[in-house]
This record gives sequence, structure tokens and C-alpha cells, in this order.
Amino acid sequence: MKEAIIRIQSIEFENFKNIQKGNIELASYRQKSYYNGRAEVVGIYGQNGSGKTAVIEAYRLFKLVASGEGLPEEIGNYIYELEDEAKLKFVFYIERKEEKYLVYYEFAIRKKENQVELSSEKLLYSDICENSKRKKIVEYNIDNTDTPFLPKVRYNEIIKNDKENEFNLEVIKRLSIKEKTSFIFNDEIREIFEKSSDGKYSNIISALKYFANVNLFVITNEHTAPISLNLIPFIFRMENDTTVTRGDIAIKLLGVSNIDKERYDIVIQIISQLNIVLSLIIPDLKLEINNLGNELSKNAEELIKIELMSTKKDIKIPLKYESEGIKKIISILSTLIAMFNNPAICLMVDEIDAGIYEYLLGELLKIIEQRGKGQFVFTSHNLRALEMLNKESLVFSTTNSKNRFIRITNIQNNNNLRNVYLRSIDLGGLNECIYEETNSFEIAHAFRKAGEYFGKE
Amino acid sequence: MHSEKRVSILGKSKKIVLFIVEGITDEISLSLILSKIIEKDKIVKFKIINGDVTSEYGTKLSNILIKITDKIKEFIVKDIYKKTDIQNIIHLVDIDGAYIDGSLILQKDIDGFEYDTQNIYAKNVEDVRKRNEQKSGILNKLIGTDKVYTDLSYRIYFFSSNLEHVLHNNQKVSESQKNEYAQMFEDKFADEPYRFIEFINKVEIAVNGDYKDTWDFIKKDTNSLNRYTNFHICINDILLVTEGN
Repeated sequence: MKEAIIRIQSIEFENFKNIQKGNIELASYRQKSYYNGRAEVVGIYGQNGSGKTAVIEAYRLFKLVASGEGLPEEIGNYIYELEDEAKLKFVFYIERKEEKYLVYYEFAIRKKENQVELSSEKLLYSDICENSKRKKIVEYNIDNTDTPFLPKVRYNEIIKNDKENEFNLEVIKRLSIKEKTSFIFNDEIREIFEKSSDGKYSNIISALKYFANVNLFVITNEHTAPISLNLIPFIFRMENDTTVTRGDIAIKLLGVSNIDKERYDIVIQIISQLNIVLSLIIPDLKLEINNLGNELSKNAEELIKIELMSTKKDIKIPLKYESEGIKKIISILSTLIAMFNNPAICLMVDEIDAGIYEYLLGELLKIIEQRGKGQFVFTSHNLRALEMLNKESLVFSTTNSKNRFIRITNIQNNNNLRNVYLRSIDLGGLNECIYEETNSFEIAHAFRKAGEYFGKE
Repeated sequence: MHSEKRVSILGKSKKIVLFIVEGITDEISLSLILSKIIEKDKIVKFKIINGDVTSEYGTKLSNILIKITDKIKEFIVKDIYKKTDIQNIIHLVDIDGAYIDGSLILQKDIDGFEYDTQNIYAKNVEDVRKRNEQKSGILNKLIGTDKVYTDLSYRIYFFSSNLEHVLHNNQKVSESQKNEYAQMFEDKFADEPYRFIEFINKVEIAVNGDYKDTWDFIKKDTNSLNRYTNFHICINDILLVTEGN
């Protein structure tokens, strides 16, 4: 399904992290245009601790689950404190040749005896036309002992086609429970559906899986934290006629890294690609690799010793000494370029603004929105985006955990959304509170009292 | 699925009560208290104008309202508000003996002006006379002004002879001590802001009568050198509709 284009449309949260209820619909979904060949940008804004990062985390979890990987270790922290089960509901648009669908995928995670299990999954689709009904492809529930999945008619169809599937499905289910992996996105499920049911179903499953695995990039602070720890992750995606290579390669910021020939070639390519854009974003800055020669590893593998340098007008310094912002830009730039050029790519970045100069951030966002092709979702505290992006591209988190996300609409065109937002923080006037009230006079007083805490001088 | 709440800007937003004050110590003294006792549908903001607009060089009867309007405009632009967000303009002034008889201004070999409850002293008596003439003239105009910037409600309240005199019963707090006094006052009511209402209504400082009566009173004799205020009217009428505990 490499040729399919998948676009995220909406996400709904139930008891996920600090979101009891919340829902974000992209403008394309609300307008029922789904995909018009252009970039779609979503900026999520809000007070600290109001659920912005949870949006990015939800897609990270989707990426793991739909790629067929097990739930991550820290999964227990993903369920709203006072509840036992969290649910995420996603809507995607799939376009593949002449076929166009909306696909609905949801899954739940549940606390059980100090463990967290993937307790249910549901996959539905509908055609793109007015009043098209949703049709269920697979409904899976860990508690359902009658048949491994529903609807029964689909199960029966598959069993009828090949009696062995009865046993196979039972094994897959047990394995999914044990490994805490998705039932629906298990490779064998797709094969069974391919052989024994409507080919449409297996196409949808594999398209989603391919998207999760190859085209959805979720960059949380975990990715960028290594920058401070002397590593720079090159998050990349390279494509030629036959294959797509993607992943991240971590290179030491200070000192020498030993990498094999294959990764060396990738890094060389990434760096030439980055330099095309980099020197324009940060004038005259170029990235270079110092090749310090070959070396044999313990298991006789040939390794190349490299060192990352930045050059500015013939002055060469180790990349480590560049600012955090420059390192952050470098680490995500390759993916940003891929998303800019490819409508099938969705890039999500938590705290895009960290360390990036406000003006530059604003210009980059505008360029992506106006001329890009992919989907770009970010969280930020920097309000410049409110002046640069369409208001349809902006979502605001609220202080109400039962209605976590709102949009600010009905704004006159001559009104600056940034000012409207700041004013609403201070004076309210929206239907939901977007800011847990702070009293600046009280903060000023507290600063002074804190200074006197250990006794007045 | 289409349950995402659309939010309009039409909901009810808080209204600003904007205090125009001379300096940061006025803000430190009063802001925390006022922000805590004000009704929930209002919010307290301060515009510090760094000086006494009524007595500063160049202020005339013909331009004082323009000057005040400009200060309000500065506040609106800098702090991203709309004019309609403002409910009231409250101008707080030190009265500084502006209404005393010229004969009570005495010559003394000092820098600047000095005050007690009977007299003002200065090296050049004429300077004080001119200042008082300008200041009282401007104040008289402002007392009779109930709208500024076309249609914003405006009221001016006095602290006599100055803020520290009213709040601390000390007429002679020097510039360098003002900050410390302001902090002391802030601390005093930080945990029980409603006690400030009692304080400002105390019989020895709160002038009796309505807005006009209190101003008529302060203009008389040496009242503008003594410890009086009409700020309680502002607190009672504008900030509070419901009583606090």
C-alpha cells in the first residue's frame, strides 16, 4: 500500500492521560474535503498541563499499536488517574487509486492486576458520499470468548473458507494478549483477510499499518532530549523507486562515532539534503562530516569513524557548540523536508518552538501551510503561529478535562488571533475557560515573600 | 462524531477596572488587595504614569483630558485589550496640599517641598504657589469630568496629603522608603483583604458624604494637608456590590 495516501482527520479521547473527554477534528474533516492535495497544519496551544502533549502521545501510541508493536512500558501512565480504561478513536482518510474511504479505528487500554492490556479494538470504514453508513470490518474484545472477533458473519465467512483459520485466529488472539499487541494489525490477520475475505479489508488494514510504520512521524521530547546528552538523532525518511528507508540514527555530538558503511551512506545523503535548506534557514551554516578513516569492530565489521562539524564561512566547529535550537532544527529537518514534499507523510512534533527563534518559526510555519503537501501537527507555547496560520489550523486546550479542546471561531478578519487569545486568557469570554486563573499581583507578592523565606537581610 | 464544541467570542468576558496611579509603589500598596476583593466578573488593572499628571510641566486645562486619554490608549495597545473591555477609569491622586491658602506656603532653605499638616515649605514659595494653582485647577476640572476617551466612566479619588499619609499615618515618607512602606501595606492585608474595607472606611480618614461632598471638604482650609481620603467611595460603590466576609 505504498501508493496509498492516508490523512489523519480526527481524534477523540476518553480518559487518556489528563483528558477525560476531548476531541479534535481537522478543518478538512469538518469541511468534508478530507484531502485536497495541500498541506494541513494543526497547532495546539494551551496552558502547561492542559493536554497538548497528550495529543502527540496518543498518535505515538497509535503508531506503536498499528505497527504491530507491544504497548510501551510506561503505558500505565496513559490512563486517566481515576479510571480503569482509556479509549482513543481515530478517523483517517484513505485514498488509493480510485478507492476513497474514511476509516475509523479505535482501541482501548485497560488496567488489570497491575498490568495494562490492549482490551479492545474496532475497525470500520465508510465510503465517501453523503449518508454512507459505517461498515464494521473487525471488532475485537479481549473479554469476548464466543468468537475471536466480531462481526460473526465475517468470522464465519473466514472459517468457511479455511477451517484451519478457526485455530489460527485463536492462536493470534492469545499471542496478542500475551505480547500486548494489536489483534487487527497482526500480520497474519491481514493475510487471513486477504485470502478469505473481501480484499478491500486487507488493503485497509495494510494501508493503515504502512502509514503507522513508515509515514507517521511522532517526535516527542524523548526524541530531542538526547541532544542535550551528547547525541543528535537524525530522524529521516528516504525514498527511491523501490524502497523507503526510515528511522533515526544517533550520532555523537562531541567526539567520534563509529558507524557501518550502510549507515554512513545514509548519513552522507541526509547531510547533503539538509544542507540545501539549512544554510538558508541559518545563513551560511552547513553541516559537514569529518571522515577519520576506517576501523574494524570486534566482530570484524568495517566501521567508519566520523565526526559532525558545522561550518560557517570557513570556520569549522564541532556541532556540539551550536545552540540547542540549531541542533533541534537539524535533528528534525530531514523529516520536515519529507513532510513538506509528500502528502502521505504526517509529522507530529511536541514543543516545536523550544529553542527556535520566534520569527524563524513563524516563517517556517507559513511556508509549510502555504506550500507544503503533508500534514503537520505541533504543540507550542510560542504565540507567533497565531499570527501566521489560518485560524482553522489552530486548536486550544481548555482547563476543563471533560472538554479539552476548542477552536476560536467567529473572529473578524482584522482581529489578530494572538491578541484575541491573550485577551481571552485574561478576561475570559469563551465558552470554555482556557486558562487556570493566575493573579499577577499575587505572583509578584509571592516572589518577594519567597525571597524573605530564609530571613530578611 | 461532530461533537467538537465550537466556541464563539460572544460569551461574557470580564470587565476591566483600570486604576491610573502615579508610581509602582501605589500599585504595590493596593493591587493585591483590590484584585482579591473585586467582584468575580471584573478584573483590576493598573496604568502607572510615572509622575503626577495634574502638576507636571505642560499640563493645562485644555490638554489634561487628552493626556489621560493617551494613557488609556497606551494601556489598551500594550495589553491587547479593547476599549469596550474597560468598565471604569479610576484615577488616584495625592492631593499634596493643593488647596491651601497661599499664605500657608512658607520659605525654608531646603531642596524640594516639605509638608506638615499646616504648611508647605520650599526654598521658592512662588514655585509652590504656581504648582498649587495648576494642580487645583486641573483637579477641579477632573472632579467635574465623568467621561474620558469619549465615553469611559471616569472618577478621581484623593489621598491626602498623600498615599502614605493615609495608609501609614506618616506624611513624610521619603522616596527611598516608599517601596518598603508599600510592601508592608501589601503584607498587612495579603491574607485578609476584606479587612482593608474596614480600614479605608475608618472615621478618622474617610470623609463623609458623596463624591462631590468629599471633594468640597478637601478643598477647605488645610484639609488637603491632613489625613483624609474618599477612596472608600470607590471601594463601596464600584468594586463591591456584594459584601465580602
